[in-house]
Amino acid sequence: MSNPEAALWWARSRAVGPLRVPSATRTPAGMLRLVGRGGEHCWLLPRPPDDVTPAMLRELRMQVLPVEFPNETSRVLAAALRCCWTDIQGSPWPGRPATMREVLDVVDQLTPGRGEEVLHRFGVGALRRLNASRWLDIDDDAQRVCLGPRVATWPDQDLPVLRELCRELPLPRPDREPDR
Amino acid sequence: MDEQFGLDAVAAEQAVVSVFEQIVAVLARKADAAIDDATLFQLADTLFAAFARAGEDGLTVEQIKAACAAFPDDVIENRLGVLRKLGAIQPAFDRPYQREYRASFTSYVSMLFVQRMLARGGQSELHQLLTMEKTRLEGGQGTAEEALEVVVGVTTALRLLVAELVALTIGGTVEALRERAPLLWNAKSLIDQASAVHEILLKFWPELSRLCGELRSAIAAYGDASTNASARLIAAAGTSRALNLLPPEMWKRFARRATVGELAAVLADQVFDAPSPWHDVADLAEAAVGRSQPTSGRSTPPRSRVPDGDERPSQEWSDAEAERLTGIAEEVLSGGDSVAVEQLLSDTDWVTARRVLADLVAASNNDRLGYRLTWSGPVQVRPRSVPSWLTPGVFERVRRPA
Repeated sequence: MSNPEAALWWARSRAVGPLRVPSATRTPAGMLRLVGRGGEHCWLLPRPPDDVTPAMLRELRMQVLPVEFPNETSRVLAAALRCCWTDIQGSPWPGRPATMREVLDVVDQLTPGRGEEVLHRFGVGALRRLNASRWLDIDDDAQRVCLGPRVATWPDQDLPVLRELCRELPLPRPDREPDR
Repeated sequence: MDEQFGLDAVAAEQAVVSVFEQIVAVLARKADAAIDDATLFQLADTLFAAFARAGEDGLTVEQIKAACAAFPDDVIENRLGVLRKLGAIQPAFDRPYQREYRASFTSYVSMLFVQRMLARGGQSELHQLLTMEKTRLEGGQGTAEEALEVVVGVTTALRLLVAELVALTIGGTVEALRERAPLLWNAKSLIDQASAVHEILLKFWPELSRLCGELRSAIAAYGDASTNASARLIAAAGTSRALNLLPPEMWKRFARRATVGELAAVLADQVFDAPSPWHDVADLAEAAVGRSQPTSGRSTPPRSRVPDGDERPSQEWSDAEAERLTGIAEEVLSGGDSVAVEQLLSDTDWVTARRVLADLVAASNNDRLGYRLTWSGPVQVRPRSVPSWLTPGVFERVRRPA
């Protein structure tokens, strides 16, 4: 990379993941700029060439970073996608905010028969992990779940599968009490 | 005293003084005769340096005071009195009204010795002593009296070392044990050296066999004591923590006092990556609705449930894989010894190119095949061509040494 400024931005994002910066920041070369809902901040993510994702590592038979509790975490991410991705023809980012209760309700319908406490414990654990890796953006106080910047890194060719998935998933049940 | 003179510094000074006291204890007449302040030691150091600069002329009392101007007057006065009385500084010539003094060589060497003892706790002195004795006694040189002296001296030193270690291991706190851990360092080589000395003694002075027996048991006792002490330290360190013999305060102190360079050196060969796992869409779909997606990665063929003696199938499979990769590699090289990756990946679409790349990487990673991918910089960014980012690389045959 010729531009040292851009190289620094890449190094920063390599070290800390997606970067949340003021909107006035210029977009460095090769990075994806995602404007947040408020418009004051935007996210900078490295955009690898040719829509390559870390899934490529599997093809090269290299170690991928393991997901903790992969099934649970994937289910919660899918449920959050179902709740937040309203305009299913567009891209998932930024989506609309949903509540934790809604997301956990979708998870509950996916894995019926689990006790309230188990569901809550596993669900919240998965939400925390997804928040830490910036797949979701969670506001604990407001119990609000938004999609994180990394959902924008799914390449376009994956979106049909995601749309299909979202159509299959149940919607949160509106008649539930907020706190059973 | 500046602001930094905190608890740590006081503790460190206390440790220093306690070693001084242990060293001079043998020679001291009264319990309070040793210095109780590390500053006084620094003063002596400054003083000897000044004498060394002055050369054969020596120094007058006024010059001494000027050289040690950093210390209070009465302290210098007091030190001069003591050093003069004990002969560490002596009149340059033996005549009345002599104003110049010279410093004793022996005193300064003993000071260097004390400093070494401070740093290593005296164990390396024991090492050197053993080495010297070994050299001296080798080949049967030296008298029977010398040999007797050596065997008694070494036995006593080892026994005292054992007593201290055992007391710490059994009754002491782990912190105290950790502090005295330098006693354990190089235990093996200490034992080896002592055994060598023991063998020489036994070979040339058979009459010392009874004393040699005691030396043998002292060496064995030291081996046991150091093993037990290490075992206790390891147990205290626990399994999850790395085995470090340094107390946590020392780590903290290092972190506080190290320069930016020292701290950065720790990270010099580390690459950090934000630990954020990737969620593949296929995995997501499978977990959420139990639908399995065809994954792009190849998987191994299913194995028979019946155990079949040896590991033949996996061997066969990897052989087949290796054969396939060899075929591809040879086709790519087409008789040559190396080929530029850029050449292979251009003029195709990315889907084909990355399959080729995956095979080349697999061939390069396979230990049993003699191929290698070598990358060099810099990255070329080539918008609207495939691949759009390209690092120059060479796929080559590795010449095996015959």
